[in-house]
Amino acid sequence: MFEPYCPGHQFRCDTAQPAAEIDRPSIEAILSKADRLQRAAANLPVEKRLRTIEEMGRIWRRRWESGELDGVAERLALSTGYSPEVIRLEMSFVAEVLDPEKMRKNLDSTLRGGAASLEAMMPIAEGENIRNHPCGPALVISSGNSLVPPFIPTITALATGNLTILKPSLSNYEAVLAVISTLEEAVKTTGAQEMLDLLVVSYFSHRSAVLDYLLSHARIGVVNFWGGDPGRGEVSAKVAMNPHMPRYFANGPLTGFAVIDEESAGAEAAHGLAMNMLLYDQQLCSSPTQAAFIGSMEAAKSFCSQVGERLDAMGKGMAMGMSDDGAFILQCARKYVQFAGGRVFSSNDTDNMWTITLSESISDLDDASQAYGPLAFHNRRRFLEVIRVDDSERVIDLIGDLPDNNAYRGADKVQTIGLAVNAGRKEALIPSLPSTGAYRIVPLDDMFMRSPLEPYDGVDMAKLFTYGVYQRDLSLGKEVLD
Amino acid sequence: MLILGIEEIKQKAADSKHRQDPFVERIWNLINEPGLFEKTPQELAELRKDLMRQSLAFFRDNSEYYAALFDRLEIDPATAEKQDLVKLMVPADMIRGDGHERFVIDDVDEGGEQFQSSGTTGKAPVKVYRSPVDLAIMVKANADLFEYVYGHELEENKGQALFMAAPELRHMLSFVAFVELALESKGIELLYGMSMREADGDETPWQRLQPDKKNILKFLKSKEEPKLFFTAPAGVYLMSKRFNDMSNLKREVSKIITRAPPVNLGKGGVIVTGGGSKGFTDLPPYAEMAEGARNYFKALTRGGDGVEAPFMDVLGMTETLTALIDNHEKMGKLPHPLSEVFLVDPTTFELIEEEGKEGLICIYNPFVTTWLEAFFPGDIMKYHSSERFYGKEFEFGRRLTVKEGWDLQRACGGTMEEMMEE
Repeated sequence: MFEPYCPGHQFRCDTAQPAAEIDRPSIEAILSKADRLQRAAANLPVEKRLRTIEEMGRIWRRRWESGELDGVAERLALSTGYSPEVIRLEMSFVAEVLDPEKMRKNLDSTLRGGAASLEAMMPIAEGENIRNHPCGPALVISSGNSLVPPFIPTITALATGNLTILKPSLSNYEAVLAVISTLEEAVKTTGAQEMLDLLVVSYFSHRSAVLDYLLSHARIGVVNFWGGDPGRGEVSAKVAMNPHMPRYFANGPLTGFAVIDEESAGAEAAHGLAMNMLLYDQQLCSSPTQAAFIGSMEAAKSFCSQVGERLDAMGKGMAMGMSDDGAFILQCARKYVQFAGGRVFSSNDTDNMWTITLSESISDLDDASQAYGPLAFHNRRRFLEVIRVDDSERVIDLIGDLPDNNAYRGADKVQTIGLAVNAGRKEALIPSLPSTGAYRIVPLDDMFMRSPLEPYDGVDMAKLFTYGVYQRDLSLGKEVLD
Repeated sequence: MLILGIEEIKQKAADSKHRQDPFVERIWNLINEPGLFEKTPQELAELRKDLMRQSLAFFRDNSEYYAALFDRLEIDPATAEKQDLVKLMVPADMIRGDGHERFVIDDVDEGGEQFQSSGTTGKAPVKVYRSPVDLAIMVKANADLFEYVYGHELEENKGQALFMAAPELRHMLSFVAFVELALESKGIELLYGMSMREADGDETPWQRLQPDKKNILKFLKSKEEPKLFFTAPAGVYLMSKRFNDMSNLKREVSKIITRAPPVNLGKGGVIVTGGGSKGFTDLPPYAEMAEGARNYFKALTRGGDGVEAPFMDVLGMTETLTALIDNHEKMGKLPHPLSEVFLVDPTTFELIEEEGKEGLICIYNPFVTTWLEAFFPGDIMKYHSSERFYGKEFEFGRRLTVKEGWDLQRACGGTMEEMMEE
């Protein structure tokens, strides 16, 4: 039974649930202290906050490198279905989220007045100042299929001084706690007890009365939901009823789209595409699941073969744990694509059953998915659809059309566009790509990697968890009235 | 709905615009060749390989779809091997609804018939068009295989058959069509043991089936020999159970009125089941069911000696022109000599050559001229070596489940079984 983690507060549990939940009186008691806690945190120097995050990262690295967390990693691999190698990679990425310099860059670039505006009024013009204040309490309903995503909003919410209630999933609960509990040790060094008081971690089942209370009635300032429907819609409906009108932002299911042209279709592009397919078995919103190849069919075939070779080489060490049933379904799915008009490049190694389909101009996967239900988006792993096209215009259409494609039902749209094209084509493409609705345009081999300066799905996380308090010394009205 | 008699089919087949095509001509001659079942397994394997290449070339030349498909799958008809056939195997779901249309050759002969699955899975039924040439081949090839497994030729104009189906199913289920046409060609009287009442609301044909007591009684009382009883396994089981549950008095009365139990099938009599036992949940294993039924079904050899009632089982399906047929306790399931039947590993779709190893059964019929009939029905089977013409005999293992990615597709026998749940 997973227990809530709430080191700064007394609480009781409702143990009638599948995992112990903080009960409603305890949540109410914690929320009643929210203003005081957030005021205290708001006065905590930003440097101290960042030092605490840095210390968390240090503690995490020490625990991870000592092997103390090997069991946690093994269990996370089992519960999420990712290969142990992918989980080990993800464990090492945790330190990136706990990098104080990246957090500082993020705050400096996204908050008017910079990171310092979290602790004091900062000038934005002569006689005009701004201070960014936490708008929490924040409720983060995090994604359940990996480890890093829950910390992207959680660490930002804590750094910006929000009382933060984090709801992990049953799959990643233990690993999330292993990371977040480093805060308790970190504050012993940095003395930032105020940050520890901001943290509440608890599982809440979908039918939890406490979760219902938090969403529909509690004095919450912001709700950040990670995931797709039907959960997203249900949470949205409940939040809309909340009389305290919390902000609501859902990070929905998105996907990645790769663009390669014949001139750039070399070993580097093949390697980059293969790597991004293998990371998390394409379950990241940035993972390429569809690609456009601008060039001849022969060149496209050759490129698909190259990517296949890379997948063979790299995927071997990242066993995907394909069941017999899953393998049979995949074999049938490949046939559907072939008979619908696509070419298939694939592996029959059940530990690394990658598939690349290659179509001419249109998505054969669209028809094939319509005819064969198990070919659905969420069932595909290490599966890439490549469409050969003549020009950039067709690329723009494909990206824009993805939400209407049966084969991608379940993804809202393209999040990340990975480019491997020549300079001229890139110049021609960049102005048109933002209108496709995609949020990120990055090099093909770097689709999974995030810069601290990036908005998250079009929104700056630090802004989501704060509101700007504007202060002016000058009176502007006089000039207007005179 | 056009329903053809055997003579009409033969005539239309003879008039086919493809009859002069060298491939169709060769197929036609081979199917009608008397010595096909006397060839050795090796001779047949070589013949099938040659036919496969010629068949692939035929489809490449007569269908833009196949020409493009072979290109995508990198199949060269001139050098194709069995591994290439694996690439061409399709599951039933792919030919649901109008799915079969794209597989039909561009200039197909019209005037044939369309068969379909029951559609009881809630999805659109599988529908397959058969040209007159294919229909003629269907009757001849299945009849020859039937007689081989039965042990001898059915004598013309002799005997009687009871088929636990309704005549209305003749235009829907290929198994029903084949039995009716084959018996018609032999001049053997066919009685349908079921009839279809008027529809009440949205009832499916299967829900409208009811026993035709008159025909059943006629069969039971008949002194014709041989008597051929075509049914789903559930039909034999339910009839045996009914006899078993009778009180002594009722049994005696039944004997007076119907001459049964036991049901006397006479010299050469046989029970032919369709599709093994798949859908009927309360049914015992086939061997147990057959054993129990032998208390109530009696037969004699052609010479008149008492014999355990023979059971033959036909594994047929809408998607394949010919069936695999076994003779319980005598021989495993045998395909037609020209059918290429093999097993693949369901996870990798790689060929299984090892005897006794279970695999997904794949059936390729090079004698079908309407579409490239390469199909896997979702059955897990295995084979053992055999001295007979095919060199192998197949044994049914199980049907893939929905969890395994197989949305249950009923073979004709399975469909018939569903009719008998009442």
